[in-house]
Amino acid sequence: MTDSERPIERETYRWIGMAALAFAGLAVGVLSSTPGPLLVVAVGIGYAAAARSVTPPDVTLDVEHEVSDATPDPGDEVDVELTVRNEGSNTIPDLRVVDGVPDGLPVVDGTPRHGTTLRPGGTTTVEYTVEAGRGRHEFDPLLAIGRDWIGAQEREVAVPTDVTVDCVAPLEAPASLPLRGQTAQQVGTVTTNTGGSGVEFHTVREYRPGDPLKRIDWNRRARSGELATIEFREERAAIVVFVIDTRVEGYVTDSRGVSAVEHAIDAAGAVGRGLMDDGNRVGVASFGPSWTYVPPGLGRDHEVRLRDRLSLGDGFSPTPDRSKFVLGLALRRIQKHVPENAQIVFCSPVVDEVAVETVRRLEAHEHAVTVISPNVIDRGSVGADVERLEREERIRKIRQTYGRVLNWNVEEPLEVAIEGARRRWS
Amino acid sequence: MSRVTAGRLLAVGLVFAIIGLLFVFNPRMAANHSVSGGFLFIVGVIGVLFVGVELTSAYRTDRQQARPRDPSPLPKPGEELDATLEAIGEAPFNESVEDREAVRERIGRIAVRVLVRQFGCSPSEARERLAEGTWTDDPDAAKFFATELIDPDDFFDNLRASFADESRFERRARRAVTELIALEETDD
Amino acid sequence: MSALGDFALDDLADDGPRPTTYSQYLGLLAVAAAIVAVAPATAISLPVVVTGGVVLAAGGLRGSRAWLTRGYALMVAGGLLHGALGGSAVGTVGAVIAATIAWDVVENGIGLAEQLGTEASARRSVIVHAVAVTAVGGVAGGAAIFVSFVFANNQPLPALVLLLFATVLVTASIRQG
Repeated sequence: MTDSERPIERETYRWIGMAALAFAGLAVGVLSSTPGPLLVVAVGIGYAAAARSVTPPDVTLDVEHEVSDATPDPGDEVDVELTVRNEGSNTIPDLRVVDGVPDGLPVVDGTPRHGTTLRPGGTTTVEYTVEAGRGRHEFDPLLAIGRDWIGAQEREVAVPTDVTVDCVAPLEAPASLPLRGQTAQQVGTVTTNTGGSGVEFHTVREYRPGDPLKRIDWNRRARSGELATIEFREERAAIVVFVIDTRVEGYVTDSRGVSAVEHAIDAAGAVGRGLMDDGNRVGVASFGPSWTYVPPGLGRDHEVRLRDRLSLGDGFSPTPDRSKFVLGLALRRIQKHVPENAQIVFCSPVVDEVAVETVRRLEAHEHAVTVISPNVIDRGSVGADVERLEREERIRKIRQTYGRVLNWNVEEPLEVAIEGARRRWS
Repeated sequence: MSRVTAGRLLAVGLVFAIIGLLFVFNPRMAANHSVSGGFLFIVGVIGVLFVGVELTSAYRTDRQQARPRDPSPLPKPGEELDATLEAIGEAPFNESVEDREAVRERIGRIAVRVLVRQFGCSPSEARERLAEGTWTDDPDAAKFFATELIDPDDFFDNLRASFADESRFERRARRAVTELIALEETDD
Repeated sequence: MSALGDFALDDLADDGPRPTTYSQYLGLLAVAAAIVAVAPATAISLPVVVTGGVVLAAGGLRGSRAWLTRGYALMVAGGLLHGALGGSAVGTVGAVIAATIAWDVVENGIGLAEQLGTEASARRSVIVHAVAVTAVGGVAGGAAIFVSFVFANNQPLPALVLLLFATVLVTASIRQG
């Protein structure tokens, strides 16, 4: 545990009215010539003097956390036990503590806040339960507020802790989304810009009606009379990078409180798995203030790496990252890392024009772009309806000029949306 | 002032208070001095004045206390616009003119696109229809953009407004957006 | 990210969170004590104190510092009135002290609810705080009563001037500047 931040002392001014009380007693007592009110002067002076002579207490605390499970699964409940010990040599007459529970861990039982009096060496324990959601959740410093015996002065201290809860969400069930230039039907028309070595790696499979004549293995036909089609690996194996829009604007939620960014990550995981199962190489990149990148690959180990980075990577935070986002820099970063011949699947809720602009710029750099856009907008208020109209207009714009958009209404399963799209795109 | 000075003043004040109380309750100590009713009155009035001074000062001083950050839930889409509409509804007319314009402009932009697509007209034609209110049958929706059509003395309009939860502006905005969505959906 | 340094300025007009239960109970107890103090009363002061007590309690229920303070002011006015109209000096002082305790305990409760929310418990510190505030009032009031019992009842001029100066000085020393 590192040093506490410098504390803040402040005057609460709760007893500021006591001077008025003293004068009131004096005035009434004098004007009425009675002793009672004059005695009240002493009360006013007494409280005022007491308020003046106290000082904010010394708040030196030792803070310990015990977490029932530091690597829970999504939806698990995690019990947190906070123990605070007064390390100073004076009693803290009025101590209030507020634990730094991260926003991504909603409290479902108990409360992370407590008030008590602590003698030197005294401890107090606070227990509460949070529900785990996908992501790396780092606790904020504990906020400790100490007041004197009569509440005239206050000292505020932040005590850092290093509690982290890592919740890794498994990848969703694989979904098969047809991408541009990757389907088997387009054998022969696909430009493979990997350059060279195309003919050496191939597989032979059963002929399907419609396969182009030039792909038929005539040698085999001559030998055994079978009809078989040669499939070159490049024509099937694509390199796909999922660029996930993690800008702060995308952290708006559906009717169940799940953010659009969360859905985008889920979609990337599902479609990515589907692609990897088919033998394509898949990578992910975050598109937001923070950066996480996994270069394309495939196989069991790679799936695990993708799953972990999508849950714990800096770029895929469960809560919005409000630091500065510069479009130009983000695009340059993508260009720098994503292989030239890679297709891009841009997973974004498309809540603003920047998303549209991003698709345009990615296309301009010669990546085939498919857009998966989760729609979290509920019909309801005027604001929601306006957002919905604007979003549909943006999606229309993207479709007309740049590429395919899978407009996924998150109330229904991804597979259903893909089925609809598949029919429309073929 | 420094704590030391304040402490000294406090001490002197306490001493005076004690002596004063002693005098009050033991007239023998102050036997030489005479009591004047007028003077008592003056002291009393001074006391009242100081009560006023102290109360004013106390009223002007804000109390301070630490404010822990409350967990902030993620917003839903459209919340900001809804909040703006509500604020417009609650503010007096002259104060919300700019905000109303901004909302009209935003919804107007999307309305133009919808009309261009649905009616096949040009953007300037679409804007004309909006300004004239000819794009819809719903009078409230029309009045949202065609503000000239609004009759401030319309009896039923005012009657409805006094019983409704939302302001007139909010209702017209809501009707306009609903009409736009209806236009979109008839085509799908 | 800590909220260090983020502090609230009291807006007297707003309703706030309801203070913790202990604060409410202790506050009511103090209000009752104040009423009892002026009960062997002159006709006007008792209703004033009772009204003040009701307003203060309402302020406590609504979490409103504004009502709380108004109730307190009424109770103090009632207490001073009691003394000015010939009621017992002890009753006057007792009522004002009890009212002050009530105000302070309930206000503390409101502040706790604002900082800790309404579900957190702060039982120990609420009680400790109440005891401390009672002690200060008891000592100040008790000392004054003691002095008044030991000596007879009269008000020479210089004494009052001294008292006036005393109050001004103490107040000046208390101001934060």
